Amino acid sequence: MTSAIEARGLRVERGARVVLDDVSLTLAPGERLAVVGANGSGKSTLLRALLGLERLARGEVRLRARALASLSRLEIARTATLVLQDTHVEAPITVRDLVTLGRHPHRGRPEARHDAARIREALARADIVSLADRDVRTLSGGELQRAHLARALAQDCPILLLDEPTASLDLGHQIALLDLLAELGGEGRAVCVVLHDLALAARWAERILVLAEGRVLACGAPREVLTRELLAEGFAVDARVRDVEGELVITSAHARSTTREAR
Amino acid sequence: MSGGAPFHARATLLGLVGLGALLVVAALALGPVTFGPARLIEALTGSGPAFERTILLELRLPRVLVASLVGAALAASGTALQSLFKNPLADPGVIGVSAGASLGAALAIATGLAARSASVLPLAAASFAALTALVLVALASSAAERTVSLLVLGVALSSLLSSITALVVALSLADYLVAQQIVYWLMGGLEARTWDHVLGGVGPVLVATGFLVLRAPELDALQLGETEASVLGVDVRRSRIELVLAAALLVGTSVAIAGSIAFVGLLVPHAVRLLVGARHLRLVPIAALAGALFVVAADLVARTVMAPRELPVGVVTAILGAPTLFFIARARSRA
Repeated sequence: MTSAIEARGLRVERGARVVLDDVSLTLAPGERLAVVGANGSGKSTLLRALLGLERLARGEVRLRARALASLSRLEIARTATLVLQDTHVEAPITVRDLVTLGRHPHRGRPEARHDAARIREALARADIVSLADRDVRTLSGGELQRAHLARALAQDCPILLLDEPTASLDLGHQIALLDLLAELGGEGRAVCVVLHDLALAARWAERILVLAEGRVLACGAPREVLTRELLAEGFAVDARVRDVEGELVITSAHARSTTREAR
Repeated sequence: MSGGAPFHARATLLGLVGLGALLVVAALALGPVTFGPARLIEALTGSGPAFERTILLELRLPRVLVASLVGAALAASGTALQSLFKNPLADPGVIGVSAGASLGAALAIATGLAARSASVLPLAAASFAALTALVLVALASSAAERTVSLLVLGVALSSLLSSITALVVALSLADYLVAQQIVYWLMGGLEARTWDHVLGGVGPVLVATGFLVLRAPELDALQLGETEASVLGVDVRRSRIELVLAAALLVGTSVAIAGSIAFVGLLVPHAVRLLVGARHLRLVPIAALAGALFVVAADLVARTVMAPRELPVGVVTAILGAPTLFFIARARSRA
């Protein structure tokens, strides 16, 4: 089967600083991958690079076996979507307007006849039907995040990338979101999510990719990856990783260095 | 904002159309020669005296139409620029596009080229507006923080261009007639507008506004920010250049047929956005209509309030515009 995403040796530079260095990853259709790492480890940059939103100093990305460089922005937008971390909207538009924008890549194509149905589904799946006519500027952080998720769902892509989608959500909506993302995986969509919460990542993902200072520190099944040694190296914390009734529990973390923020 | 949609496009449109009809009738009827309803109909149908018909069809109607074109152009371009740069202050005046158009026009007059053909001046104004816009896009794209840098760059560019225009005026003072012509033209206004001005403006304004309406979905996406727009499939760089050029054509045309008129491009999109929301398929045409009415109204005030003396229409748009903008800003910060 062709990979949904295949990235090889990605290197992104910002001036003299190397933000990503020699990062490779593959993601199969239907697979759930969590990207974790300390602040500033390059997680968001990696998601952006996978969509061609970063200038690559080296390396190549292929989406469904096609080189990113050979695809137009519209073709990319029909293949993969991204939900950003900073979702603030200043424009006075309704939630429905925002979700409708997700159909932009399909304008003038046969898929456009499904616009209304896809928008309805997206609103329902993100649990924001009752917010559809609200001005987005009046939403709470969590509501806005779900509105952006609905926009991405309406885009109806085989690949979904999400940057900390649980950040503003209460516990109930966090679990509902991860269940929904798992469901999307079940539909054969490749889902790659940046997560801060390692326990959540361990529970949800089939594989975890750990970034540290722009490089891949480890990538594999949660149990192989989330070890005491790795947490020490990747997050500069001293933590215990235990298996409690089949779930990974990470406890008593205290920072080894005060100069790096870690959780 | 509880219950139902928060925006009212249809009601706003109907209100504007009704108001527009009244305004146009008032603008035709009022002036040194005042027409009552019966005389207005007689004059328009050709059954009244010939001079009355001339006043209406050769003086007042072209003036109303030029005012409408200018208002529509400024409001549509302001709408596009604000969304494009994700900045509510990105008015054609603030970012220097108007100053560019003025410099182009001043140069065309000073070099004597404008005297050769009537189309030189509008062309010069429009191409300098476009050039300014492109320089701005190029400079803003290379800067890291775009919205802030755009404003700073725009203000700097605007001052630079205005001082070059002042230099052109200063250098042409030797020929009093040329200098007078430039200064008169720079002041702008709608006095003595003819069908030539209408015909010169109508094409570019319709084409460029139509282009903005066609590209409404891209403007919708761009106002969410560059990354969001890219994720939604917009080729941001290309789209931005094309949309800025369309906005520049509108500003250039408006400066070419009426000089620079302040506040319309800033105020009207603001007000209309509050009423109809920011979906550009509705916003651009309704803002254009509102802009047209705003300038027609301002011109009506300008030529009647101190009659027989006329005020420059730009003075009136600023007097009406500044307090309104203040109230909008206050309402927004309270919301």
